[in-house]
Amino acid sequence: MAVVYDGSSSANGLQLWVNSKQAETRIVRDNLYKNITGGGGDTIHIGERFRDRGFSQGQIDEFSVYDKQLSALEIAALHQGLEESADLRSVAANLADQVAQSPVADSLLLEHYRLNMAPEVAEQTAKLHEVRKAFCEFQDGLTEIMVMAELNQRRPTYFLKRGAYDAPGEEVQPQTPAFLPEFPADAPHNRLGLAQWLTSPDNPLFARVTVNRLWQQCFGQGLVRTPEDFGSQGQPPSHPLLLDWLAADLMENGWDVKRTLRLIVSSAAYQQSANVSAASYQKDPENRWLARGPSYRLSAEMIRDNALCVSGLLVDKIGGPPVRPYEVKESFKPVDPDKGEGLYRRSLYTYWKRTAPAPAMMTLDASKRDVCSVKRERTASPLQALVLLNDPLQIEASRTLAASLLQDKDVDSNDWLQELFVRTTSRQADDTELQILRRMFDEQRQHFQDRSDQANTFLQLGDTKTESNVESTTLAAATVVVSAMLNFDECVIKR
Amino acid sequence: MRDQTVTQPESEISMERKHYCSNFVSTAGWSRRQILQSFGMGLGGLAASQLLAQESSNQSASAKQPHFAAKAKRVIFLFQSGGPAQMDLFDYKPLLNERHGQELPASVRGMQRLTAMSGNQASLPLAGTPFKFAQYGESGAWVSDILPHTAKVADELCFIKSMHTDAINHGPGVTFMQTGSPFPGRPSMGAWLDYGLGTDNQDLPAFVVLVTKNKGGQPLVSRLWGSGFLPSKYQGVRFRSGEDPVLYLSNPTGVDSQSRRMMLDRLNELHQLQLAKTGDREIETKIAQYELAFRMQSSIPEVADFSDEPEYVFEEYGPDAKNAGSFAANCLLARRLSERGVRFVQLYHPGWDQHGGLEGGIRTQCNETDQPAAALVNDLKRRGLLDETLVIWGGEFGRTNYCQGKLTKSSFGRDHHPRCFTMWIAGGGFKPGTSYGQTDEFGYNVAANGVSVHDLHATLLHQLGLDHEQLTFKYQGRWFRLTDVHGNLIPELIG
Repeated sequence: MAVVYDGSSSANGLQLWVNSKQAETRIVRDNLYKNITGGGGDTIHIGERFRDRGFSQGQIDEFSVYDKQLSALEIAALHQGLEESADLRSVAANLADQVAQSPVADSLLLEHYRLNMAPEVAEQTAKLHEVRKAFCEFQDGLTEIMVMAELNQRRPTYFLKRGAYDAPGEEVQPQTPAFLPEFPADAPHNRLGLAQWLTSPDNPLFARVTVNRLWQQCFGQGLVRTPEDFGSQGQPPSHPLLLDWLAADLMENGWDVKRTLRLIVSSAAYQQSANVSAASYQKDPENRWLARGPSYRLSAEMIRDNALCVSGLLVDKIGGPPVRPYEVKESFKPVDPDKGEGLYRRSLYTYWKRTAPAPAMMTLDASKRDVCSVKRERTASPLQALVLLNDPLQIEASRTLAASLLQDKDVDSNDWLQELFVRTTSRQADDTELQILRRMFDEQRQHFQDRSDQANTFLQLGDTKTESNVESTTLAAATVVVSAMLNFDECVIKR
Repeated sequence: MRDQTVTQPESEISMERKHYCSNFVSTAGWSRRQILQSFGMGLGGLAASQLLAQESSNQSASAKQPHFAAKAKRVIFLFQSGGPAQMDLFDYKPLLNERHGQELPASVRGMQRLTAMSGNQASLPLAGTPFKFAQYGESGAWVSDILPHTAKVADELCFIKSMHTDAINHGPGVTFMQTGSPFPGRPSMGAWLDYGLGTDNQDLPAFVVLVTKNKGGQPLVSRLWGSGFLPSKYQGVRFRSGEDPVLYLSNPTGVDSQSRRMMLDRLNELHQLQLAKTGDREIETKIAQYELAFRMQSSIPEVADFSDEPEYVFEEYGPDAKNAGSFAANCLLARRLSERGVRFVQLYHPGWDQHGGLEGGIRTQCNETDQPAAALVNDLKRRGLLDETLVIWGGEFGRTNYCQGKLTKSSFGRDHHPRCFTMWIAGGGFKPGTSYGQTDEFGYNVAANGVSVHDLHATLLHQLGLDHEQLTFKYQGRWFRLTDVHGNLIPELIG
């Protein structure tokens, strides 16, 4: 047996020889790129696979590896047990005799000459080798991302009898369900065609579903409250004409999502107050008729981003690889968090591992991303309170904001407390609220003054050191007050 | 069950919170005056913590009604991850020892597929167990000599010898056993129970997960105890073996309980104002959330602290019992959690995947698990808790009767085998001292009374007072069940 490879990274460059005759082969896969050294070691297995008994009732003997491409003549010579330095002319003549075609001898000798003796071929091969090496090194250095792509030739897909993967029945073709609008005649039957069909002006579904999700994003509930199901089992829209109008508007304006979002948030419906009379509330507890503004708990990402933003810790950088905030250290498969700016990027950039998702985000109902989800549940559990109270990021944000609020301020005036209230809720605190905050601060300050070592430990938390000329017991007390505000209803619930 | 939207006639204003199986809490029927009287100014000096303490002591507010009288109240699932070899532990097959080394007859295997790991083997030699079997207890249960402690409690156990599953690899196998589907995205059994039955102890999570530390083996992923499409508050809470059993349970360093209490009292005042202003019941939930979190900060460390356990208990659970995070310590912790009303305690002990080196490997597994599992059964019985607690022992599938890899005198292995495996269940009304179902004399196929994973789920739910066909949740246009569209109650398993 001989296996010959020309180093081209293509399946055509690989030959199999059995008893010095080239074997017929079938190309199953032909997509080699980068070096083959990665991904689980570079061991060569002969005649078996991992954990398999493999080739049995025989033995493997005389295994040799050559660092060059063997010619057909060399393979024949090796098969006949000739020395490597043997004159191959007689081998070529023999082989030509066997097929009774004398030109064969010449072509075999020519191939051998080309591979082994021609100086210009050797020179070019060496150059090719260098260029391939450089190309491979370049490829190896690139970060690989999986993308979906159409195969050159579509793999046949079959109806599987009773769902068994090894029981193919009739071959099936790509097609959209018959009860939905017709597939465009000129569209290709692949993902491109599917996209064309989805976004065709004759197809009202896609735009309706899309604007409904955008509405849901702003109002907490869609116009259709079953965003995953617009069929007969779903709920009908509360405002069918509005839904249609928004859908048409999105299509007519080049699918400009930002435009639709702007339209929704600048609408009178969205800008209403969420606080209404109890009578109005009772008449429509679920706010189906939109007589008041939306009210719901912010998403996991918004809560974290908000803490980063109001404290000034946020690193407002766009794009780049994922980052590892503190919480990944607490995940089911813990990893080390970043240092510096990676800790303070928007939650959008948080490193995501599906088998061990970011735990604080999970607690706050972020999607697990193991199945498609178009609507997040919003739950309330004590574990969420623990995250908002004790997550090191929340504490660090509180301290940073406390330090900036107290900078050159009179601690005993209520001005900084009012500023804190405005910064975290976008409204002025009334007198009662200010009194409560003042009392909270005074109590905490007294508490920490009696335990200044605790104040100092508390202020050490997190990666960023806070520069402040404020006394540590005062800063610790103010940090607790800010932290309380980050837990306050209006800071985490849209009103 | 399916009434997810409930509206009360305005004339029937009720102070009662409505709880339905969907966990929908009606906010209808509350006047602004009532809210103010109950929670706002009308309370005067009564602190929120006192109010909530009352609500918490009224546990019926959170526990829901089962469909019919329940035999069992809670579950401890001792999941043996990796697939324990049934014929080396419980399913005694002397024929395998007689025919040791001979081929698995084609008539026994039939047309069944094997895994890709041993499917290419040139030979499938039968492998007899290296362990000694004997019958134990009045019931005469067959148990191998590597489970001496389990053998002693055999009369408490209900063995199911005829379990079978659809999954042939770990990921789908464990997912199937835990969620009723081999595909990710469905709620775990514990999440279904929390959803269906609620909690008996407000101060602890209803669904707790304990994973034996420092075990390699097949990966476990967080979705196994996830809530799937159910709201995320039903997901399992994994206790860590380190300092903080629950994510961010401890106050930040430097903040003591007194400081936190003072801060929460002032935060409550802010929230009471907010509640009076908006009348939004969400705020009431939020106040409760923070009080529960505060209580968890003491109730969870209390349950994880074994210092009040007498020495004989540690002796009973074995030498590992004081080693936090070991299977023995987790069994003891499971008992403490069950005692306090935790609905579902899910243990995982990885490492049962003996593809090779079975004899040594399985001995190690048994040494780690045999004594604690038996101790748990005895301990629960002594405390009168076994009748109402289901203790489940088993893995995701069984192992083959033939050898994977080379069968030698000193070493052999077994591949995954979904067609039959053994589980045992103690307590909760399962018939003690019985064995149900049979495998053929080769231990390859179920010969009589097969029990599918769905059947097991249906029977377990039944003992907990839930009809597996009635415990449903609507998601993406259809009603889902733990048993999906399958599952039959097996009356012979229960008394």
